[in-house]
Amino acid sequence: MARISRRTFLGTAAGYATTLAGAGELLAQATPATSSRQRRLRVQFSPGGHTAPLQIYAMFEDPLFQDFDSVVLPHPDAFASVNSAAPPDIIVTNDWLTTEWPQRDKDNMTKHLAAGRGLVVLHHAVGTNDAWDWWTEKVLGCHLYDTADPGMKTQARLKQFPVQTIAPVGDHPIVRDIEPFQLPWDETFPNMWISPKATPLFKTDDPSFRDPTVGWIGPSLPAGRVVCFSPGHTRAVCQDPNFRHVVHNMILWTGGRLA
Amino acid sequence: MAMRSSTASLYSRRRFLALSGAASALAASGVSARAQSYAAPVPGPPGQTPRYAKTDLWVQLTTGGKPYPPTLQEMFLDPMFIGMDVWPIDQPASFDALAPDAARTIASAPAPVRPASGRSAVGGGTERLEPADYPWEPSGGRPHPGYDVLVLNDQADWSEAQRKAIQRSVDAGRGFVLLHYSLGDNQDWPWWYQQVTGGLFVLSERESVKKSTSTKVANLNLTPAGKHPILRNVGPLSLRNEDVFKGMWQSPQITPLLQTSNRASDKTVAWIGPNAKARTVCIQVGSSRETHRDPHFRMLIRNSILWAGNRLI
Repeated sequence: MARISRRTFLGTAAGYATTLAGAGELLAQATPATSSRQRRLRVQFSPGGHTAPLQIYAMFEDPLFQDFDSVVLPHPDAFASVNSAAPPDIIVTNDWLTTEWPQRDKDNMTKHLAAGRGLVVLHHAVGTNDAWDWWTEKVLGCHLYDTADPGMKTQARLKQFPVQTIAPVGDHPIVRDIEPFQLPWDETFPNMWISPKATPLFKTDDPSFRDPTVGWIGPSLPAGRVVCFSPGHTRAVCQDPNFRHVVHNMILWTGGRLA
Repeated sequence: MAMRSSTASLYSRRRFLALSGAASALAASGVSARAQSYAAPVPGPPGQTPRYAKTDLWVQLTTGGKPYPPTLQEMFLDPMFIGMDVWPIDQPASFDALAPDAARTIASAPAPVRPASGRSAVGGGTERLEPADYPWEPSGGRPHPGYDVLVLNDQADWSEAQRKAIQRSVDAGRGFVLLHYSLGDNQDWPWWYQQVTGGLFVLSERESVKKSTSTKVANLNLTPAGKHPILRNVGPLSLRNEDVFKGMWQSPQITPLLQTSNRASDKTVAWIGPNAKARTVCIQVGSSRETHRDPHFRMLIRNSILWAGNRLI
């Protein structure tokens, strides 16, 4: 995990402006100016702060994902794109920052959700901003660890690397076409706290989990759709067709294209 | 793809030997002293006997602050890059695993303290069920072998901690490959762009330097500026939908690799930086999906990484 100075996050004003313009331009490419129901969803993948396999980026170039216009935009200023002329419909995060997001990132993400857009939170990102109560309890509905708990600030309880069977829960559109599947060996978080206000989507068969929920919908917000999925660490998982199918469904639903 | 240099063939042979589990055969096979040094055991935690040798070229890929297509990372899954272990670490990224003492530092990190109470008290340390063929994975607990080459496509002013790690890495002779956006890194760190990279995309006008410009061009033709191992099997490139830079600051000490006559661009678009310790390759292009999927561009990146990592002479 990397620590970084505030200066790095703040960057330059010029960089901010060009980032904003660049993300909008990239996302708008091949996006005809038609109604939001007809055009392809604009998806922004925002990792950062932690090593991730190539396969999680390549997932967005998988033929399954060709109904999206995808760009990668890591920190700093990852969410400045929400102010562009063609903001992302869905932001997919996989960042892991030992410090909280800078206030500018928080403001931009709040704006993104308030506009009714989507957020999909993968693996590392379920632990980002763990001390931001609104984020963990109202938006994500989970804690990877408790930053108020001395000794738990740098390491949650990890379990590496079990092979799990993941089973859908309920009849939500995200899980409707998904059968139970075996996930290749992965890093898991058996000690997570999942909010009772969250809606479970997927559960693991690993008996060591305090709560078997590994995929869920965040507590209801006034606007915006939020889905979390805690797998996604290893190369094997990130290129697994079942994992990709789940993520694809989550993006579709948070973008209002799956009912 | 034919490889003509003797180093390239050594590289392939070593990869084969490593995959066969015949590390000991490497020393006896008559390869050069430099090639043997790659197979040196990686230092593990104190008191632990090293259990494996490093054979692949380890590459850190760092992006951030600018949007780009996922085809950049997808490119490194091309079999052309076999023998390289490429790991993305996006900003805010640590460069510590590039510095010489990284493996020891990371492996000896203190174990987390188990809390007596609180929301996370049910758990504790890390549990592992490692499969027999388990490779290195992030936070997997095995000592990190250390990166040989850093590939950049970020655009940021790095923190002091990052700069110190980079200075140690340059002194240790690590390799650097800078793509597109990263030519705008560290606007306020002259040592970086004057002594290491040899070029800077100037983001805002200064006393004596004008702001650089970026223009999207539908077609961009690049031709070799001379003979160099990096250009083997690359040939002239014809790229599409590229963002080209004009008005960059470029050191008179750079060695041009690729040039263009496109009027929206500076003439030299790929070059070798002036640093005597760290092999540094700068490539101004690399922003579009079409470019990332161009086999000639991929060969250029492959060769650049191998050369920066002292695997191509």
